[in-house]
Amino acid sequence: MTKDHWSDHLILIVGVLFLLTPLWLLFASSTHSVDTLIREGLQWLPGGEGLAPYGQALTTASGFTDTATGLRMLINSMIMGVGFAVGKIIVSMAAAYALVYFRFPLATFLFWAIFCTLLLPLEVRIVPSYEVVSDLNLLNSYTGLIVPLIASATATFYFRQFYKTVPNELLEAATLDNAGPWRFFKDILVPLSRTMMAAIFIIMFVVGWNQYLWPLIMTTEEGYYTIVMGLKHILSVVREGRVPEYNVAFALVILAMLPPVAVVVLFQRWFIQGLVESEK
Amino acid sequence: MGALTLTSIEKTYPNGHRAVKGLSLDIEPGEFVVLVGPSGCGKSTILRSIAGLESLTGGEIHIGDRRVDTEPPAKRDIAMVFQNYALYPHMTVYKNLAYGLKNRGVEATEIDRKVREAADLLQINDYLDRKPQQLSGGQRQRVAMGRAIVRDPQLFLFDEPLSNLDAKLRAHMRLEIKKLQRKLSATSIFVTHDQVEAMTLADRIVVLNGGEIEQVGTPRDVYHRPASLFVASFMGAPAMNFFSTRVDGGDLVLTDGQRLTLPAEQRPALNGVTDITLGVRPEQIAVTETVRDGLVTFDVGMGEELGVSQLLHGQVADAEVVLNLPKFERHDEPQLGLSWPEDAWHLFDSRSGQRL
Repeated sequence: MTKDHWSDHLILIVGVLFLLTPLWLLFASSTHSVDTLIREGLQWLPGGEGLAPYGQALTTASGFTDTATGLRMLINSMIMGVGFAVGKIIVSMAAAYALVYFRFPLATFLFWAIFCTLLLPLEVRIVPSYEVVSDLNLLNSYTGLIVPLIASATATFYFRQFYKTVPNELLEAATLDNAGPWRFFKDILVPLSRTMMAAIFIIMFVVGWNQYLWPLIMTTEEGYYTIVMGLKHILSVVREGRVPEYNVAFALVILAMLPPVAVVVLFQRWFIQGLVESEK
Repeated sequence: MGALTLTSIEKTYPNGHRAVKGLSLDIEPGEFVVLVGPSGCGKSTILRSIAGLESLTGGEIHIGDRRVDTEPPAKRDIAMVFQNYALYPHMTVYKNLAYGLKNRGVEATEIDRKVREAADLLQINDYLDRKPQQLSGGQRQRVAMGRAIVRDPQLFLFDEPLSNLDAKLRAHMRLEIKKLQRKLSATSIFVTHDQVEAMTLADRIVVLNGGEIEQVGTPRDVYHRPASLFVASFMGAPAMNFFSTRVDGGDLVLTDGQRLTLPAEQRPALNGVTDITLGVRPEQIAVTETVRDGLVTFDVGMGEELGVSQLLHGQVADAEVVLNLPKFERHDEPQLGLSWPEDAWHLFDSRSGQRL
């Protein structure tokens, strides 16, 4: 190890400032009144409104009906993010289990077929996906929001690689211990995969939380709006000739960022703990 | 009916490799049988076939009078100790031991009794709440054996369980396994490539080569009366010395023309075979400093000190020879005379490799 140099810290500090300054600007500005913001622009120091805009952001509905309050949208996003991440973990663990532990024809081909879907993001298949969901009468439902997105080639790939590193002797020992395929999965593979699951949960929750296009197309009832798409609506009153409530919008942006940050912070501890005391 | 009967079992892999070629073996109740052989001799395949982890392509396996080769592994009433222990890393020692019983629907109180009994026997009581990664190699080994013992199976299978331990611990665990086996009088099959393990543990040794049995016998038998050149060269360290000879009257003639007079009682064994490989164990050869008639001339090479004895490498008639000499003071003689007692002669047919 070489000794720390002041220039190392300088680079780190510049990086931190680069990332955090916009956030600070948003936060400081969100505590000012709309008038101040319109007259003087973004604010560097906290203002007199305090946290009042946050209350307003959580409780005031911005759309035509009263259903799409900030709180409602946060809850919707939470359902979407958790459902998305948990669904992906379940589906891809099951797929990887089948691919690694069961000998069936075309297994390799199927794996690569799944892998190739990485080349087909949601945007490419959005019209047929919408068609299917619409035919199933799942528009404006949590099922419709989540289920079409939970197949994941990335997660399947990670779990497959992980299962391949699990020693075969464990499977054999379990076989002799009268554990069938289901028991082996439930009692041995799933507990061993905990750190993988935490890692994938972090990534997938954030991806799910940040979904924009799909909820935008899927939902017409404001009660199902998610926070990321809702952010746009709160400022769209500009067109209606009113002064947009910038401070409330900024507050909502900050609120929209908190859950993903919390998930990362929370799960990262598990994740790193898992990396350090590897159980295999 | 023995505890385990293998009847001309065959295993051919899909790629055409014949790992086991029609092998039959009877094992008595309470017997400790060691399968030994070089890598690729089929010993692990045989063990895994008995466990049901590999399927046979021919033959039958009976445990007691029950045919098991068509049954799934869990129904065969066997337990296996794996090379890498294969403990469940996320379960405590207690749960590792209990898992097989739990999956067989044994009652919780009964499981608890059996686990504690096995833990007592193996002295792992203090570790029951720990996870495998918090244990040392020897402790993990005990847990792996405990997992087999709690099930109280009809047959124990050991797949090179000591190969991951360091030399000192290996010797210790070897003794423990043997004591335990005697105590439980458990019918056991132990696979190893280490001939010391085979010699020390076995009631009977099965020496395997290329998927076939070379010899079955007690450790003494296998060591003192090896049935073939292969067994003779495989068992014993340093390995037996071999000389190619030709029969001429009552003498064996080495390739450089030295003549050895065959002991009278060995002569009938020749049975008309003329190309003989003579084998002599390194520790049975005595040296004399003077080279004279009746002794084999030995060109002295490197020496190796073992403490308890000394290994002396050299050549006899261009063949490499090793001597294992207990009390030998080395001088600078270029040549020594060798002799060995009458019971040290092992004669093999050079063509078939079989003992004469």
